[in-house]
Amino acid sequence: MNMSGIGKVWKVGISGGSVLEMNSIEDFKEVIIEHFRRRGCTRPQVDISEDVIKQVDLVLQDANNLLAFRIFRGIVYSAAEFRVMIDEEILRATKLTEVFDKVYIVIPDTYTDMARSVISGRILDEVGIGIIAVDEHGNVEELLVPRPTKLTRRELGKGIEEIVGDLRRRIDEIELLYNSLKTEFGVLSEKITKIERTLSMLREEVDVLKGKLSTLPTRHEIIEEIGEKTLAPVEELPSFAKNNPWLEILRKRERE
Amino acid sequence: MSDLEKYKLKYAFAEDYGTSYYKFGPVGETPDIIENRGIILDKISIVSKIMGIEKNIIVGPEVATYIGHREAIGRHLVYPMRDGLVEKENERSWRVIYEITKYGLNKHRPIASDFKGFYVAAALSAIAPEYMYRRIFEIHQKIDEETGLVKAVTIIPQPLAVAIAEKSITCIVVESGHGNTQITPISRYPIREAILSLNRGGAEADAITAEILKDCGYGDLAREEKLIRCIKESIGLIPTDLQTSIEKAKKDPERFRAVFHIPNTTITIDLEENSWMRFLIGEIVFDPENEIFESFYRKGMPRPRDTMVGDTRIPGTIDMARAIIMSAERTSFEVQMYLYRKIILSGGNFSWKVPRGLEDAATDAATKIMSMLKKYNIEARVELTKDPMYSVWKGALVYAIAVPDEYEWNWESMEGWYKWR
Ligand SMILES: Nc1ncnc2c1ncn2[C@@H]1O[C@H](COP(=O)(O)OP(=O)(O)O)[C@@H](O)[C@H]1O
Repeated sequence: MNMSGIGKVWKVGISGGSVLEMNSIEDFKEVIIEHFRRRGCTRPQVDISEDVIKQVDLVLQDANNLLAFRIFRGIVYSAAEFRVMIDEEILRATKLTEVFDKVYIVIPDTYTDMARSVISGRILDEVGIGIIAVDEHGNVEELLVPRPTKLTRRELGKGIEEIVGDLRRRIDEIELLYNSLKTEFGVLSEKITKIERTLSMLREEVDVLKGKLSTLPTRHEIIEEIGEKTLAPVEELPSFAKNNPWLEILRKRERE
Repeated sequence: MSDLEKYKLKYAFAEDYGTSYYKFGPVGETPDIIENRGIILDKISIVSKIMGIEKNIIVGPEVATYIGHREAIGRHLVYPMRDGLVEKENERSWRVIYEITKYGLNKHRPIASDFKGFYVAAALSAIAPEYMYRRIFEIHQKIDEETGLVKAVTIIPQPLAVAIAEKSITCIVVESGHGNTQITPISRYPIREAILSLNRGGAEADAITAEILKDCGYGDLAREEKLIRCIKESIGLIPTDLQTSIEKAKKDPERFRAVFHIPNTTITIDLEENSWMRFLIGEIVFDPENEIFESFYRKGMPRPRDTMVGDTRIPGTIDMARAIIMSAERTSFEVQMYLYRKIILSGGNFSWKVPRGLEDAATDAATKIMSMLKKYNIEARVELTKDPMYSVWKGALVYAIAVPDEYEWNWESMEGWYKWR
């Protein structure tokens, strides 16, 4: 198996067509453990701090390399949403490369196509993150094989900073967008409340009118009644308009 | 009153496109107000590419929530009317104006079955060129096509609006906002050939405040625009007479001491023995030609640009009294006398206060201009609008109420209702 072909995709079935349903994070973990066990990986033999453990779903050891796995939990319906979430995921994973030699993001294989279109293999390669897809039968597919980062980190230090900066900027932008959506949502719900209020007012008015209609004998009278209502009473002039000599001057304007 | 006029009275709407604030609203005592600015997000990839969001301009109070992201937002922030005018080709600015206008109208959309759109009076700078008029009309028409919010629109020069709000038929209106100052004689109509516009306003006072802060060791704060403006408004004083006021302040620094505490911080600005400099902040609004300012100009503080009135070049630093006289003298002789009987000052840049205990050395804008005019042997009555912030909006509203519906827009007289329905 050629491990250095970055971005090269191959398939390793493990449960040979058995109908294993992937329902929980535990299921995912199990098939990943099984998959990597076959390649000689073991449970980690070294101590890892609580803090770090909390940030990952699974840690395995391959000879001297520590492998970390984060399972993508998001539920998305479009590539657009997927990009937003995976960007955040990648940023978190990037931080983990400081502790682990290889970091994998595990995604359900329904997202494989989105991942292919959205994720830049070049960036992931540089930061040392791999992508694994797991299908509903528990088949594991390594979409992208990470390069061990300990070796590359020192050489690529500068590049990483740039990439992290780029990701930060993206997150800033996402935050921005999020805020704007939040406000817009607030405005919309306010508007809806208003509309609802008016609607119930109108309903009441219609009821009143209906009542009147039934008591009014002739068509003529009905028209008068409604006709008066259509132009609601004119509000009073604001103080600065009252007794203002300009009112007269301007009213005569065209005729001058 | 015809039904149509009744309708207009009910659904009049006024808009004041100020250099820093946009004031807007339907018939009422006071307008709504937002900053005249917006954020354009086209270049922010995530927004346009990922979410496929159509709306990529943000205006209104929401803008403030992004100012924290200075780095991300800086170059996206647009103030479309910084000095009262918008260049013809400045599409970014026009987009913000479109969005601000729509925001304002939308916010006040009435819920009433008889509503068929507002009669909108928009107030623009007295020197706004014709293309700005055309563009403002277009914007309203477009908004109406999208929302049904505008039945007709007219445009009123800001100073005329002030005269209307003040109920004055013959007067000189001096309007000084953040970016510019316009002097407009009015006698039933604005006397267009006499309008004089100066490229200066509150911003000049901001600039010298920043210089003073630098000189007093607060150079790090001198970059925060909002803060400077706040400090200016708090410590700036108009001297009754620059020389004597400064002398008094130097003799008795404790009484004139300028101290400003920045809210929500532990920072206090204290000019101490330099507190006399407070008077420079007020003086520069009225007489930036005073030689005391030379050293500041030499240090790089921008000098207000000259303006042309007809073929006459007016120095940007001309003192306010002389500018008023130059404008008045371009009107007919008979009317001049009446004009001087009422000079109305409006705009935030004339709202200077006189702190208690300093009345012997500091003064208000009206008194200052009155005494400056006296030096040219002109007895004038000068007063501040009762409501410097909103008088333009108020006048525009009266205008919308009063101009008859059947008076269609006329490019000769620049009056009437512009309609498309
Ligand atoms: N109390 C005050 N003292 C001095 N300057 C003030 C005061 N209030 C507002 N200003 C200044 O007035 C200017 C804004 O004036 P405004 O008429 O609102 O402008 P515009 O209508 O052009 O937006 C700003 O420079 C602001 O700092």
